[in-house]
Amino acid sequence: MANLYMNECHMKYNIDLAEDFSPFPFGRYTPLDGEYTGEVFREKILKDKLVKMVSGDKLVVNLNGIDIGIGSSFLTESFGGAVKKGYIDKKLFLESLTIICDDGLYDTEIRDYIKEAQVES
Amino acid sequence: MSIVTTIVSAVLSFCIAAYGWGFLNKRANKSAKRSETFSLISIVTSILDDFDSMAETQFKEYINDAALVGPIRLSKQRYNAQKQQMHEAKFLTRYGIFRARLLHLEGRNVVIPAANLLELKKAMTLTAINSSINYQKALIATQKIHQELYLAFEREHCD
Repeated sequence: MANLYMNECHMKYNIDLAEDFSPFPFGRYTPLDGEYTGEVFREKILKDKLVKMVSGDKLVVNLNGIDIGIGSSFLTESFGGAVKKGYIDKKLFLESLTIICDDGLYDTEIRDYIKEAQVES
Repeated sequence: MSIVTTIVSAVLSFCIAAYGWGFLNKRANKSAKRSETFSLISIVTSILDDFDSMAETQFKEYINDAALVGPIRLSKQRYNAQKQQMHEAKFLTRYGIFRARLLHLEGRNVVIPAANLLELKKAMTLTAINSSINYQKALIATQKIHQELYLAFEREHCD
Protein backbone atom coordinates (compact mmCIF):
# COMPACT_ATOMS: atom_id res chain seq x y z
CA MET A 1 0.00 0.00 0.00
CA ALA A 2 2.42 2.65 -1.21
CA ASN A 3 1.66 6.34 -1.12
CA LEU A 4 3.55 7.92 -3.97
CA TYR A 5 4.29 11.60 -4.30
CA MET A 6 2.98 12.92 -7.60
CA ASN A 7 4.60 16.33 -7.23
CA GLU A 8 5.27 18.85 -4.48
CA CYS A 9 1.63 19.41 -3.58
CA HIS A 10 -0.39 16.35 -4.51
CA MET A 11 -0.47 12.82 -3.21
CA LYS A 12 -1.28 9.56 -4.92
CA TYR A 13 -2.67 6.78 -2.78
CA ASN A 14 -2.69 3.20 -4.02
CA ILE A 15 -4.89 0.44 -2.72
CA ASP A 16 -4.72 -3.13 -3.92
CA LEU A 17 -7.95 -4.68 -2.66
CA ALA A 18 -6.75 -8.29 -2.81
CA GLU A 19 -3.32 -7.62 -1.26
CA ASP A 20 -4.16 -4.89 1.22
CA PHE A 21 -7.51 -6.27 2.34
CA SER A 22 -8.72 -9.64 1.11
CA PRO A 23 -9.03 -11.61 -2.14
CA PHE A 24 -12.53 -12.59 -0.94
CA PRO A 25 -14.34 -9.42 0.12
CA PHE A 26 -17.99 -9.95 0.95
CA GLY A 27 -21.03 -8.24 2.43
CA ARG A 28 -21.77 -5.03 4.26
CA TYR A 29 -21.35 -5.32 7.99
CA THR A 30 -19.07 -7.10 10.42
CA PRO A 31 -19.61 -9.40 12.29
CA LEU A 32 -22.86 -10.45 10.60
CA ASP A 33 -21.44 -10.82 7.08
CA GLY A 34 -18.02 -12.03 8.14
CA GLU A 35 -14.60 -10.46 8.57
CA TYR A 36 -13.87 -8.82 5.21
CA THR A 37 -16.89 -6.60 4.65
CA GLY A 38 -17.43 -3.25 2.99
CA GLU A 39 -17.69 -1.63 6.42
CA VAL A 40 -14.27 -2.91 7.51
CA PHE A 41 -12.65 -1.98 4.20
CA ARG A 42 -14.08 1.53 4.44
CA GLU A 43 -13.05 2.06 8.05
CA LYS A 44 -9.62 0.39 8.03
CA ILE A 45 -8.32 1.03 4.52
CA LEU A 46 -10.24 3.81 2.80
CA LYS A 47 -11.01 6.22 5.61
CA ASP A 48 -7.51 7.35 6.57
CA LYS A 49 -6.74 8.19 2.94
CA LEU A 50 -10.06 9.83 2.10
CA VAL A 51 -10.03 12.20 5.06
CA LYS A 52 -6.59 13.51 4.05
CA MET A 53 -7.37 13.99 0.37
CA VAL A 54 -7.47 17.41 -1.21
CA SER A 55 -8.20 18.55 -4.75
CA GLY A 56 -5.56 17.21 -7.12
CA ASP A 57 -4.76 14.10 -5.06
CA LYS A 58 -5.33 10.70 -6.63
CA LEU A 59 -6.69 7.48 -5.20
CA VAL A 60 -5.99 4.39 -7.30
CA VAL A 61 -7.86 1.24 -6.33
CA ASN A 62 -6.79 -1.98 -8.01
CA LEU A 63 -9.47 -4.67 -8.08
CA ASN A 64 -7.72 -7.10 -10.38
CA GLY A 65 -6.61 -9.59 -7.76
CA ILE A 66 -10.14 -10.54 -6.77
CA ASP A 67 -10.89 -14.04 -7.98
CA ILE A 68 -14.63 -14.50 -8.30
CA GLY A 69 -15.84 -10.92 -8.28
CA ILE A 70 -17.12 -8.38 -5.79
CA GLY A 71 -20.74 -8.18 -4.74
CA SER A 72 -22.68 -4.93 -4.98
CA SER A 73 -23.31 -4.89 -1.22
CA PHE A 74 -19.57 -4.66 -0.53
CA LEU A 75 -19.03 -1.93 -3.12
CA THR A 76 -21.91 0.28 -2.03
CA GLU A 77 -21.05 -0.04 1.65
CA SER A 78 -17.40 0.82 1.16
CA PHE A 79 -17.43 3.52 -1.54
CA GLY A 80 -20.96 4.88 -1.19
CA GLY A 81 -20.67 4.51 2.58
CA ALA A 82 -17.58 6.73 2.65
CA VAL A 83 -19.63 9.60 1.21
CA LYS A 84 -22.55 8.87 3.56
CA LYS A 85 -20.23 9.02 6.55
CA GLY A 86 -18.81 12.33 5.34
CA TYR A 87 -15.21 11.13 4.95
CA ILE A 88 -14.90 12.86 1.59
CA ASP A 89 -16.83 15.20 -0.65
CA LYS A 90 -18.67 13.37 -3.42
CA LYS A 91 -17.25 15.56 -6.21
CA LEU A 92 -13.68 15.27 -4.95
CA PHE A 93 -14.06 11.49 -4.58
CA LEU A 94 -15.28 11.11 -8.17
CA GLU A 95 -12.49 13.32 -9.53
CA SER A 96 -9.69 11.66 -7.62
CA LEU A 97 -10.74 8.03 -7.94
CA THR A 98 -9.21 5.69 -10.50
CA ILE A 99 -10.37 2.08 -10.58
CA ILE A 100 -8.01 -0.42 -12.14
CA CYS A 101 -9.88 -3.50 -13.25
CA ASP A 102 -10.03 -5.66 -16.36
CA ASP A 103 -13.80 -5.47 -16.10
CA GLY A 104 -14.78 -1.87 -16.84
CA LEU A 105 -18.24 -2.32 -15.30
CA TYR A 106 -16.80 -2.08 -11.79
CA ASP A 107 -15.73 1.51 -12.42
CA THR A 108 -19.24 2.41 -13.60
CA GLU A 109 -20.84 0.61 -10.67
CA ILE A 110 -18.63 2.21 -8.01
CA ARG A 111 -19.15 5.68 -9.47
CA ASP A 112 -22.92 5.06 -9.45
CA TYR A 113 -22.81 4.31 -5.71
CA ILE A 114 -20.75 7.42 -5.00
CA LYS A 115 -23.15 9.59 -7.03
CA GLU A 116 -26.22 8.09 -5.31
CA ALA A 117 -24.83 8.46 -1.78
CA GLN A 118 -26.12 11.24 0.46
CA VAL A 119 -24.34 12.45 3.57
CA GLU A 120 -26.03 11.15 6.70
CA SER A 121 -27.32 13.85 8.98
CA MET B 1 -23.12 -19.25 -86.50
CA SER B 2 -24.00 -22.27 -84.42
CA ILE B 3 -20.54 -22.21 -82.84
CA VAL B 4 -20.99 -18.58 -81.85
CA THR B 5 -24.41 -19.36 -80.40
CA THR B 6 -22.99 -22.30 -78.47
CA ILE B 7 -20.14 -20.18 -77.06
CA VAL B 8 -22.51 -17.35 -76.09
CA SER B 9 -24.85 -19.85 -74.44
CA ALA B 10 -21.96 -21.48 -72.60
CA VAL B 11 -20.68 -18.11 -71.35
CA LEU B 12 -24.17 -17.08 -70.27
CA SER B 13 -24.72 -20.42 -68.53
CA PHE B 14 -21.38 -20.07 -66.77
CA CYS B 15 -22.20 -16.54 -65.62
CA ILE B 16 -25.59 -17.62 -64.30
CA ALA B 17 -24.05 -20.62 -62.53
CA ALA B 18 -21.28 -18.47 -61.03
CA TYR B 19 -23.77 -15.88 -59.85
CA GLY B 20 -25.99 -18.61 -58.38
CA TRP B 21 -23.07 -20.27 -56.66
CA GLY B 22 -21.87 -16.96 -55.24
CA PHE B 23 -25.36 -16.11 -54.05
CA LEU B 24 -25.84 -19.50 -52.40
CA ASN B 25 -22.41 -19.31 -50.81
CA LYS B 26 -23.23 -15.91 -49.35
CA ARG B 27 -26.56 -17.19 -48.03
CA ALA B 28 -24.91 -20.28 -46.57
CA ASN B 29 -22.31 -18.17 -44.75
CA LYS B 30 -25.01 -15.88 -43.43
CA SER B 31 -27.07 -18.85 -42.22
CA ALA B 32 -24.03 -20.43 -40.57
CA LYS B 33 -23.20 -17.19 -38.76
CA ARG B 34 -26.81 -16.79 -37.71
CA SER B 35 -26.90 -20.34 -36.41
CA GLU B 36 -23.64 -19.94 -34.47
CA THR B 37 -24.87 -16.68 -32.92
CA PHE B 38 -28.13 -18.33 -31.94
CA SER B 39 -26.24 -21.19 -30.29
CA LEU B 40 -24.24 -18.67 -28.26
CA ILE B 41 -27.44 -16.87 -27.30
CA SER B 42 -28.95 -20.18 -26.16
CA ILE B 43 -26.02 -20.70 -23.78
CA VAL B 44 -26.41 -17.18 -22.41
CA THR B 45 -30.17 -17.56 -21.93
CA SER B 46 -29.56 -20.84 -20.14
CA ILE B 47 -27.28 -19.00 -17.67
CA LEU B 48 -29.98 -16.33 -17.27
CA ASP B 49 -32.43 -19.11 -16.38
CA ASP B 50 -29.92 -20.26 -13.76
CA PHE B 51 -29.97 -16.77 -12.27
CA ASP B 52 -33.77 -16.95 -12.03
CA SER B 53 -33.47 -20.28 -10.23
CA MET B 54 -30.81 -18.91 -7.88
CA ALA B 55 -33.05 -15.97 -6.98
CA GLU B 56 -35.97 -18.32 -6.35
CA THR B 57 -33.87 -20.64 -4.20
CA GLN B 58 -32.53 -17.75 -2.16
CA PHE B 59 -36.01 -16.34 -1.65
CA LYS B 60 -37.36 -19.73 -0.53
CA GLU B 61 -34.44 -20.38 1.83
CA TYR B 62 -34.66 -17.04 3.57
CA ILE B 63 -35.88 -17.28 7.12
CA ASN B 64 -37.97 -14.36 8.23
CA ASP B 65 -36.43 -13.43 11.57
CA ALA B 66 -38.51 -10.31 12.25
CA ALA B 67 -40.65 -12.09 14.83
CA LEU B 68 -37.73 -13.78 16.58
CA VAL B 69 -35.86 -12.36 19.58
CA GLY B 70 -32.58 -12.83 21.42
CA PRO B 71 -30.05 -15.52 20.59
CA ILE B 72 -32.46 -17.34 18.27
CA ARG B 73 -32.84 -14.24 16.13
CA LEU B 74 -29.07 -13.71 16.02
CA SER B 75 -28.47 -17.29 15.04
CA LYS B 76 -31.07 -17.02 12.22
CA GLN B 77 -29.51 -13.77 11.02
CA ARG B 78 -26.13 -15.47 10.86
CA TYR B 79 -27.69 -18.38 9.02
CA ASN B 80 -29.23 -15.99 6.49
CA ALA B 81 -25.92 -14.13 6.08
CA GLN B 82 -24.05 -17.38 5.44
CA LYS B 83 -26.64 -18.45 2.91
CA GLN B 84 -26.41 -15.08 1.20
CA GLN B 85 -22.63 -15.39 1.03
CA MET B 86 -22.99 -18.79 -0.58
CA HIS B 87 -25.53 -17.52 -3.11
CA GLU B 88 -23.43 -14.47 -3.91
CA ALA B 89 -20.32 -16.57 -4.54
CA LYS B 90 -22.35 -18.88 -6.77
CA PHE B 91 -23.85 -15.94 -8.64
CA LEU B 92 -20.53 -14.13 -9.16
CA THR B 93 -18.92 -17.28 -10.52
CA ARG B 94 -21.71 -17.81 -13.02
CA TYR B 95 -21.79 -14.09 -13.78
CA GLY B 96 -18.12 -14.28 -14.80
CA ILE B 97 -18.92 -17.06 -17.28
CA PHE B 98 -21.97 -15.12 -18.43
CA ARG B 99 -19.87 -12.03 -19.17
CA ALA B 100 -17.31 -14.12 -21.06
CA ARG B 101 -20.09 -15.53 -23.26
CA LEU B 102 -21.44 -12.04 -23.84
CA LEU B 103 -18.01 -10.95 -25.04
CA HIS B 104 -18.23 -13.62 -27.74
CA LEU B 105 -21.60 -12.26 -28.73
CA GLU B 106 -20.29 -8.68 -28.80
CA GLY B 107 -17.92 -9.81 -31.54
CA ARG B 108 -21.07 -10.67 -33.49
CA ASN B 109 -22.71 -7.31 -32.82
CA VAL B 110 -25.08 -8.68 -30.20
CA VAL B 111 -24.43 -6.23 -27.39
CA ILE B 112 -26.17 -5.95 -24.02
CA PRO B 113 -26.09 -2.43 -22.50
CA ALA B 114 -23.93 -2.03 -19.39
CA ALA B 115 -26.96 -0.67 -17.51
CA ASN B 116 -28.77 -4.01 -17.89
CA LEU B 117 -25.75 -5.95 -16.66
CA LEU B 118 -25.38 -3.69 -13.64
CA GLU B 119 -29.09 -3.97 -12.89
CA LEU B 120 -28.77 -7.75 -12.82
CA LYS B 121 -25.71 -7.71 -10.59
CA LYS B 122 -27.32 -5.26 -8.18
CA ALA B 123 -30.55 -7.28 -8.07
CA MET B 124 -28.61 -10.40 -7.17
CA THR B 125 -25.95 -9.05 -4.79
CA LEU B 126 -26.89 -5.63 -3.41
CA THR B 127 -29.16 -7.12 -0.77
CA ALA B 128 -30.39 -10.58 0.09
CA ILE B 129 -33.33 -11.78 -1.96
CA ASN B 130 -35.49 -11.85 1.12
CA SER B 131 -38.72 -10.29 -0.12
CA SER B 132 -41.03 -10.59 -3.07
CA ILE B 133 -39.90 -7.13 -4.24
CA ASN B 134 -36.25 -8.18 -4.35
CA TYR B 135 -37.24 -11.41 -6.06
CA GLN B 136 -39.18 -9.46 -8.69
CA LYS B 137 -36.21 -7.14 -9.24
CA ALA B 138 -34.04 -10.15 -10.03
CA LEU B 139 -36.60 -11.58 -12.45
CA ILE B 140 -37.12 -8.23 -14.16
CA ALA B 141 -33.36 -7.81 -14.60
CA THR B 142 -32.98 -11.22 -16.25
CA GLN B 143 -36.03 -10.67 -18.45
CA LYS B 144 -34.66 -7.35 -19.70
CA ILE B 145 -31.47 -9.08 -20.78
CA HIS B 146 -33.47 -11.88 -22.46
CA GLN B 147 -35.36 -9.23 -24.38
CA GLU B 148 -32.23 -7.28 -25.31
CA LEU B 149 -30.57 -10.46 -26.56
CA TYR B 150 -33.40 -11.25 -28.92
CA LEU B 151 -33.74 -7.67 -30.10
CA ALA B 152 -30.02 -7.46 -30.82
CA PHE B 153 -30.21 -10.79 -32.63
CA GLU B 154 -33.14 -9.61 -34.72
CA ARG B 155 -31.35 -6.37 -35.59
CA GLU B 156 -28.25 -8.23 -36.69
CA HIS B 157 -29.69 -11.23 -38.50
CA CYS B 158 -33.27 -10.64 -39.51
CA ASP B 159 -33.08 -7.76 -41.92
